Amino acid sequence: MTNNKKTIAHRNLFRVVSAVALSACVVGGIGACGTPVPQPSRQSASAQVTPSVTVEQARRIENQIYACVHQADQKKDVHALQTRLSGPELAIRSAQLQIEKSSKKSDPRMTIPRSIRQRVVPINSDWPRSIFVITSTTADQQSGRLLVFNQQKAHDNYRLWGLVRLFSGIRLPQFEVPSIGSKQGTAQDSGLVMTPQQAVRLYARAMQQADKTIPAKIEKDQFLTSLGDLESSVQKGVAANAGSQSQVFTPDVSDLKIMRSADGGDLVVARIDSVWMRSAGEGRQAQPASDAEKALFGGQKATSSIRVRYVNVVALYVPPAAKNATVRAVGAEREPVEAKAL
Amino acid sequence: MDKQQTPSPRVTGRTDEAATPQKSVPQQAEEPQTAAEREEKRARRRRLRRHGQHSWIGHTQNAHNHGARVGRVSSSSRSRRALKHGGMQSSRAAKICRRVVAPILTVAAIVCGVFGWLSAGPWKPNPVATATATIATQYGATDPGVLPLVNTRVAIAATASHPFCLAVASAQDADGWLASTRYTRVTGLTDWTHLQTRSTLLQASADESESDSVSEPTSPKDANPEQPLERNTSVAFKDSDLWRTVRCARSVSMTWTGDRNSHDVIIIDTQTSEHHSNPVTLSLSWKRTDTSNTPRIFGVCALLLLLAAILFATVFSLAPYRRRKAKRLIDAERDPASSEGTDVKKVAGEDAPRWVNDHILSRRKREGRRRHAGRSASAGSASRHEKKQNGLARLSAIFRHSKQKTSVPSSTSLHPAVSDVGNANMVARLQQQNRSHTASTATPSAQSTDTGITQSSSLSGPAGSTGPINPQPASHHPTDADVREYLRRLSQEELGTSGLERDQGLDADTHFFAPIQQGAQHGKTSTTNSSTTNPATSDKSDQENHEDHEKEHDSDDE
Repeated sequence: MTNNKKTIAHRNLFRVVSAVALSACVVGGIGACGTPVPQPSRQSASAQVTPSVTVEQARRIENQIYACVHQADQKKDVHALQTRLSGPELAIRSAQLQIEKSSKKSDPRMTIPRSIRQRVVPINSDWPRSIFVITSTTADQQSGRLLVFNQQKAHDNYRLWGLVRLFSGIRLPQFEVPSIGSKQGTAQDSGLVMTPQQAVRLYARAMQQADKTIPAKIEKDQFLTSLGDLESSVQKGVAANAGSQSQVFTPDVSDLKIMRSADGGDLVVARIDSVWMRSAGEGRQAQPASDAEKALFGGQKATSSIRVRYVNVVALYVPPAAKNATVRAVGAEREPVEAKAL
Repeated sequence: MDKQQTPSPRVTGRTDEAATPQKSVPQQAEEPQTAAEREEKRARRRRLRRHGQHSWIGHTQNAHNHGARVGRVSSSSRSRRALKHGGMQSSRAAKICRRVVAPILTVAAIVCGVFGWLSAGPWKPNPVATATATIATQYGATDPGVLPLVNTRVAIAATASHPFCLAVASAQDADGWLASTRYTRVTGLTDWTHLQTRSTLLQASADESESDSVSEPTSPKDANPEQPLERNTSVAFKDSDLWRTVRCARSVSMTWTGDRNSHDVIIIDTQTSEHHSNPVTLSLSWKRTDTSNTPRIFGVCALLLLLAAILFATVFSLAPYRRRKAKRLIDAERDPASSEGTDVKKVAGEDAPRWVNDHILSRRKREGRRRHAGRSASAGSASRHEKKQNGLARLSAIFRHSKQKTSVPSSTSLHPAVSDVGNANMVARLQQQNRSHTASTATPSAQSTDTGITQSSSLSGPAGSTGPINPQPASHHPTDADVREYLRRLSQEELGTSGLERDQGLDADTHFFAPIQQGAQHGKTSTTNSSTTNPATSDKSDQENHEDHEKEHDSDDE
């Protein structure tokens, strides 16, 4: 009887122990599974199509550039411009400052309004990158400016590369909002009336022939008109003096700042240098033709020839290819940067 | 089995299904109390205590049907053996269930519960995942997708012994800055506490090299040396326009919030130089959103296992026969009137019409009577029809000595007698009831063809359906006292509803089944006095029936 009970007790104990062990094994096996760590999704950075800068970043850039410009304006310090300016605008503004300093007159064209009407932000991932900023009109009712900020490389900052005064009453093409961003164009963009490079060259020729007939594909604008008038008047004066004059416009097609508009066209901002050689007749002196030239000429001894270097910046809108479509300028800037008696 | 008709001396009988009552039965006192009978009584009491069944009909039949009990003895012992055998097998399975399976399940449930508690408590994973890494190279940057890895909000903290700079930028801006530079890449998580790092040298893109060569603007034909040149030196890390946010200090902490597809990265300039190294410890903290289901799973498993254990320990471990409902409960449900001293209530509910109640009551009584009349121990073997017939025959035999109708009396009522309460004729009904009750007690209600209203059919339909009541059948030996007692109880049971009595104008104390020789007339007379005038249409049938009954009574009375 006792043996029986012992056997039964052992059997029961065995059952209990085996039950516990089995359950623990099974349950522990389930419980041992931990949560795996997540893995980042492998996406290439180039697949990103977000704007290169956020609006806050753009504002910060503008503030810094404005601060630099303002500081330089206040001190009339050309060197101060070098931190945040580049390209034609650096040359133009330096000359303007120099002129201001010598003539003691402020140039209203140097005013840059602080209020921004539109920002055009690029979305491509490569360098150089450009941001187009369109300001509102100035306090004295001058037309708005088109600013071009350029970041040449990653280790560089955005600099004010170009500034053109928009023509009054001009209609600019539409661009994508900064949260979406616009694509940057290239010099060889197709699908347009002509490539941006061709458009710039053609416009330079039009500037060359400003007092004569301009090419058909270029729309006549006030800049060309004023240029033509200037040339005509200078020509008259030079001819009266039995002198000669010539102006050669050289576009810089390697450094175009192009932004694609929403309708498929390109807004091209190009630098066109021009050299104006004026020779007076025998026994005459070639004098600077304007106050600016005079300020640049300074105290040089006038000779019979004078060479004045101009930096022209033009903003062209190249529309998509269509019948009777023409390239038109939306803004231009022209500033003598050097006047030298030869 | 035909045991109920065979007369034989009363012997002790046992059956689980036909347990007999032990309450006061006057007729018992009149019988010779043999030792066997006493033994039987004791046995019955034991059975009763065990099963708790009370059936006056059964007892009455015990008093009268000795043979039935004999038959019951053999069948009951056979059934007991059969049950035992079957029960043995089932009890083994029950034992296994109870002793093996249930404990295992219980233990498993406990273990699950313990694990669930542990998972929810001491073993609960940290809700905040903080992963760290050390950046020893000059630059370090996270891969795109690392910042929103666990959650869309991450707390960034970095410390070093010397000031360093930490910036948040887009992935392409960081790549542009880090071109041609060997830097430490943070690619992901190795586990919840460590960041995975890798040393990488990022190749400069072709455009970068080209743009470097044209950093100077192409000068026109006559380059002007006096033209101011722009400075082309690289800007400092902290002055770069590329960064969305940049902080420089010895300890930097900031919070980044974005969406899951964001390509923002962190770039760190440790400002390590040849003179001193400045390793930066970077830690990223996310709030974990993956709620651990482990405690819940364990809890559910524990509950299920516990439930299964309970089932196995109780229900499944019962022997099959025990799983069946206790017989006394079943009988109580089917035939509440057969229990001693129970009041017959309105079993059909308060709002049910009388005929429904009557039908239920009569059906119960019928089934109970048949059961106690000596049905076989293997319940359910006899069909309902057979049972009805058996019960009917028995009852007929009790109360009629000449006529024994073993077949279903279908001659009298060929159609179901539907009683429309609205059209009920109370007077006619009373008369018929009197006649029917004098003629037979419950035989009209035993008409199997009339599945509807049996009670009312006995009241409104032809009353002389099964013949006169014969209180003294030659085959049985009931005494007058027995019969009276029987009838008294029958009347109480049949007319148990107070409404019925009221409607019929019957007095509960009135005994319809007074001594048969004279009682029928008296009963009838006493009831018809209280009724109103009969309508002419039913008079004739009533008269006929009355005459028939009287004739039968006359014949019986001899």
